[in-house]
Amino acid sequence: MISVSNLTKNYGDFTAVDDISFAVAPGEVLGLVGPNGAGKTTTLRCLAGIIAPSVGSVALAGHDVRTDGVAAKRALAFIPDEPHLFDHLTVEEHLRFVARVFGVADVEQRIGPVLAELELTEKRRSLPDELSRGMKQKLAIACGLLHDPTALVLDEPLTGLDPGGMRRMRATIAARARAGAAVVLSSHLLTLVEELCTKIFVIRRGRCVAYGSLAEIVGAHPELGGRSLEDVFLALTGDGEGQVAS
Amino acid sequence: MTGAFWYLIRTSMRNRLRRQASRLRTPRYAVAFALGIVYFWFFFLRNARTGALDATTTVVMLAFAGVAVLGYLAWSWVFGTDRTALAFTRAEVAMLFTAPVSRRGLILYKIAQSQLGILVSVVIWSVILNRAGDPVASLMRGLGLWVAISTLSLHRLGIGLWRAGATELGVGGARRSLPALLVFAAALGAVGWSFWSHWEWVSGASDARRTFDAIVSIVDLPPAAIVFYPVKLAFAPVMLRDPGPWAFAFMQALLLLSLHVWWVLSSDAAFEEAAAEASEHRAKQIEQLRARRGGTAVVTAKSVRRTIPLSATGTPAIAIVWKNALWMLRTNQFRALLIPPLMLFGGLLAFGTSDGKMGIVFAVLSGVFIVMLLLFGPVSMRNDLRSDLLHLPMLKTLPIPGRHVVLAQVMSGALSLAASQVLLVGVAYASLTLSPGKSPVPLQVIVACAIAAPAFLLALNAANFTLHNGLALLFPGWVRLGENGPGGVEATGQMMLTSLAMLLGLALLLVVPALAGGVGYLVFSTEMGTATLVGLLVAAVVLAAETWLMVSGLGRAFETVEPTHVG
Repeated sequence: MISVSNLTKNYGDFTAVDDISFAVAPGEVLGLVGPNGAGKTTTLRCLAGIIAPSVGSVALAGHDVRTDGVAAKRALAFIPDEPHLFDHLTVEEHLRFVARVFGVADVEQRIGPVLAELELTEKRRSLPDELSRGMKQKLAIACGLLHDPTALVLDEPLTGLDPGGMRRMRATIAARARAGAAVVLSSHLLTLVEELCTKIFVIRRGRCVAYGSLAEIVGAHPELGGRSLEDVFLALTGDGEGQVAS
Repeated sequence: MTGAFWYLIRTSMRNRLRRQASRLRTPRYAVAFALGIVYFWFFFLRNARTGALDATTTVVMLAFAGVAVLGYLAWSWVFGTDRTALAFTRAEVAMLFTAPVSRRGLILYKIAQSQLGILVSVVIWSVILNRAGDPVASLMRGLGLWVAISTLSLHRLGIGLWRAGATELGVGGARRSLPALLVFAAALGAVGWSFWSHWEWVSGASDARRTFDAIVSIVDLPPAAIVFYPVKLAFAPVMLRDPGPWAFAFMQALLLLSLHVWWVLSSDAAFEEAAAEASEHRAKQIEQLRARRGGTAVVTAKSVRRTIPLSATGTPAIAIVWKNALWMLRTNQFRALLIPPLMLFGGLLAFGTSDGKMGIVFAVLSGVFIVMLLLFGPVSMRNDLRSDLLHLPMLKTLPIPGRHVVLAQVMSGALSLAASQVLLVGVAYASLTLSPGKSPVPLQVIVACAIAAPAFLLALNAANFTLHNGLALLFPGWVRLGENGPGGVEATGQMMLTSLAMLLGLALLLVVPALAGGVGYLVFSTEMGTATLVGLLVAAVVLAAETWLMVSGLGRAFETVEPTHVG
């Protein structure tokens, strides 16, 4: 379960995220969409405990990220758009590092399948410097998934992946949700959002523009009926023709 | 197209200077810049004015430079390892190689661009070699240096182009290097022959000065003179002071430079692929250079064979210690830490045990190394928060309390340094107890120091690393994070400022432990050994308590720090 209540994040006079609330139940996938600079990454970073909300709260698996951060993060996997890897640890050692941090006792049984699933088996002894951009992203994903998180936060998860990798990643996200994880993903790939997400949260200039299933959003704006998610998105965010008055 | 190249060079230089100048508006950079200037003045300019190099020293330096240049060129011709001569930046490869620019145009740009670096080198070397501040001599030497370094630079470029051309023709590997190998083998043989023929001049010399004169005389005679002639031709204007001979030598050197320009520009080798490859290589080299400049050693793919096992269960923060230990293992930092104690122990076994005075010398040397490791160890072992703050978003998602993260980072370095220092204490103990003669320090004090050393040194290093990590966490703008950082005078000044701050911080941190240790000593002062032991242990405990308080505070700071704060 991921729960966000009245989340606001200020940087001095600038409000990056302004009083947003949503909840993602186990098995649900929430798509966070919005134009560049809308506040998506700030929201995800608040969810992951990287930055603290100025106002409001975030809870993961029932634990407040600010007051009970360690317990909340045990349930979390955050996969950023830009993978952060240690230069001197090999692919396999990254997994061992994560296993120790999250207490994955059966790491020996898990490493092989995870590496195979992400086509990293041959690179298990490689340093990040020797990996392509896509492989680094796959390693970041492998690190995130190793401990079976129940709260999955993904920022542009398909960046850098090849078509096969994208397909597998989509399947993995869906499988994790089916297994009971609450997933929040941010992406500009609206087809991905349309395919995977049970709910959509449209954010613009830090504020919620629309929230609900695609049917609920379209229901609230009858003039958008029968149009694609891309058209709906552009209309809601005022990023194209036919914008909707909020 | 020349206009575009000139524009690129000019604007790049202007923007770089502007950026550096704009940084000076920030007080910390302004103070650092001032300190950096003082530093460079103290070490270079001050000596240039007051303690100018004499003629002999200059000749010796240039003679060594000549030999080094010849050796370096021979290596480049044979092995072609100097890829940087052909290296363009990644942006240049992307923008210029895809533009409608001829190969000659690209080479011309490369030559023009290299002049910036050459001019800086000329100024620096002119200042260093300046004798008694004579401006005319400086100008002559500067011009000579410019011609010599430009010729060398063009020669490197020529080698790069020649090798690229040979590769294009399908001549690679040993076949490509064979002609150069034969030429340089013949040159080496010629020099060897000259020395063998006149060895009595060297062996008969009574002192270093006469030995050097003998070597110079031999090199001045054929066949060695023929080998060194091109280098001498290029460097002669740097060495000569009289205007007449200098002008003649300068004209000759200019002619040599012109020949190089012609050689390089007339090359029609398809060098683009080699240049693109070299640009990637240079980009990596720059990263590694920056890393080493800041003490962050580089891990190579070869070194990953060395590893340390990690259990999947247990205290999570140990994973951070393990990660940092792997870095130390793979960058040979562990090995480097073992060198001082092993070296001294070897020396002690060889010389120290037979002579009481040598024992004291080895004990003092051990003490010097302990202090040096304490002061400079944390500067070179930076794989803690000073590196990991760049991965802050990832670190902050780990389910580890902030104080544990900080403690793990601090202890990674502190444990390694303390272990090396304890070994040095062991050497000092052996030096003072095994050597014959009366030790200046009572035996019970030596034993007490040896017993208390592990706890005391661990506390001391932990405190020191906590200060370094604390500065990075609380004032990241003052510390170079990771491998990359600004260079220049202000970077040197900033490093000095932070070092001074660390020293002052450590001194302040030691006040209370020293007082507590002093009290502990006084309580047991009737028995010197026990008093020393108690004093050191009390000081260690108080210092550890202080460090833990700092770590707890920094842990809270870690939990609230945001990536935007780190930059």
